[in-house]
Amino acid sequence: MKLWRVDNVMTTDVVSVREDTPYRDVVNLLIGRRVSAVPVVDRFGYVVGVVSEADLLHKVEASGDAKPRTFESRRRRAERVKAGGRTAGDVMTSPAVCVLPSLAVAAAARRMHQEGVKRLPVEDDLGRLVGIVTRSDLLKVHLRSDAAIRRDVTEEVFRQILAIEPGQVSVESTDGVVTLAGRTHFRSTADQTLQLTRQVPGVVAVAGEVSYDVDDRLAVGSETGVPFGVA
Amino acid sequence: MRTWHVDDVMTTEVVTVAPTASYRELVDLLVDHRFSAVPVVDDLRRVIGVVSEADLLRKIEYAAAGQPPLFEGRRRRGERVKASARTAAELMSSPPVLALVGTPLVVAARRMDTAGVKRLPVVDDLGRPVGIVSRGDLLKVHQRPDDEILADVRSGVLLPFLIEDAETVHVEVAGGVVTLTGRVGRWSARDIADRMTQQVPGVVDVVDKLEFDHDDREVLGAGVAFGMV
Repeated sequence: MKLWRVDNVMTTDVVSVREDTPYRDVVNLLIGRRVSAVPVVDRFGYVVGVVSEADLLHKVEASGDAKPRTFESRRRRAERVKAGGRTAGDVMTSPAVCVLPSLAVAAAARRMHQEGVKRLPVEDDLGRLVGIVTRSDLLKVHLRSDAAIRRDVTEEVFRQILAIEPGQVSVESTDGVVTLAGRTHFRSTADQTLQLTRQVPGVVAVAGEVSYDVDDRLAVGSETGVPFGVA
Repeated sequence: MRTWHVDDVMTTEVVTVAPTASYRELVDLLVDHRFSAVPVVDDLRRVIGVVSEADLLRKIEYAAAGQPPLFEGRRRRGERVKASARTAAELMSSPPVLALVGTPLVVAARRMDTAGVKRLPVVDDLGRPVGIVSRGDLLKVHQRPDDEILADVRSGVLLPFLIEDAETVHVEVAGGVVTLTGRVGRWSARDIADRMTQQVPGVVDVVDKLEFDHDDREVLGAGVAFGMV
């Protein structure tokens, strides 16, 4: 089954700035290119940080109120420093969280979530910027036709992985909601049918019922809490 | 000199969805329009929640994870519920973080930062959407031409606050950086000029090269804030 990777969805035409790029030039770039962040690279093309709208907005948030308070947390101090910044280097977040082109899309989504970022610069194994992947790029993975989803389920999940006979289990897909119906020999196959179908890119939910002849869970060693039926 | 509000920079063409909108429709909408979020409205057209890319992306994350882990904290379980959610009502974050018309940019920027959101629906006093203001929209203030900023510094700061000293102060603006040179009567006048100029919309930084004749800080006392913030 095709494993969707970062390099399937990333933008390679990525614009970048240098540490000494002036604040306003960065603003113009983000607004002009309609992007929300830009990687900062050194003269060798290595990613040294990322400037996002959030980094630039500290200046708007402070709006001249740049005096330190008596008790200032480290975070507030960092934000105040950024608010006074004049170049990309002053306001960037560094080090940048980057990924390799070979990373799976699902792992990239988890990474964005863990790090609290909305995009990831993509670098080659030497650390040079080769692209950028954003949240909306990852969402595009889900814009697949029902025909493509049905094909993936029958070809990849049924035929190649589970060796289900054609006609044993039927597949319908409407707006990404997949309905399965049919019968397999072993229960473990039926369970896996549901689980693997759920993982096909573009699948929103799996419904329906796949019944079985033989409950092989005891022989294999049952795992508790294996869900069966509607995913 | 006036403060900038969200009305100055917001997008007025608002796309909204009903609570019944499907996951697929939401993905199509966000990707086609290049939005990062869309407000959900009830049948009285009041904003009741916002669906963002983050809400929709949960599904991709959990697709590869497969089985739920045996011991699952409350937060992760809530997120996994979102992963199986199918409509806007189930996916949206609510109550929504909004901005009333007339909200100053500074306030909107701080609210976005605190809430960790990229856009704020702008609503009227009945809660109905009249626009959307994004982080990018807020940054537009920094695209003001230098001569506009210079005019604001002169008319909004120097003339009203320095009065007779205003004529002896020279202002230059380049790339949003304001340089003040010249001589004023008292330290407090220089301080005011510096701080008020910082607050002029579009100013990136202030280089204060002003000199003063009389240091009136002893009279005022150390650490006393003078004038307006």
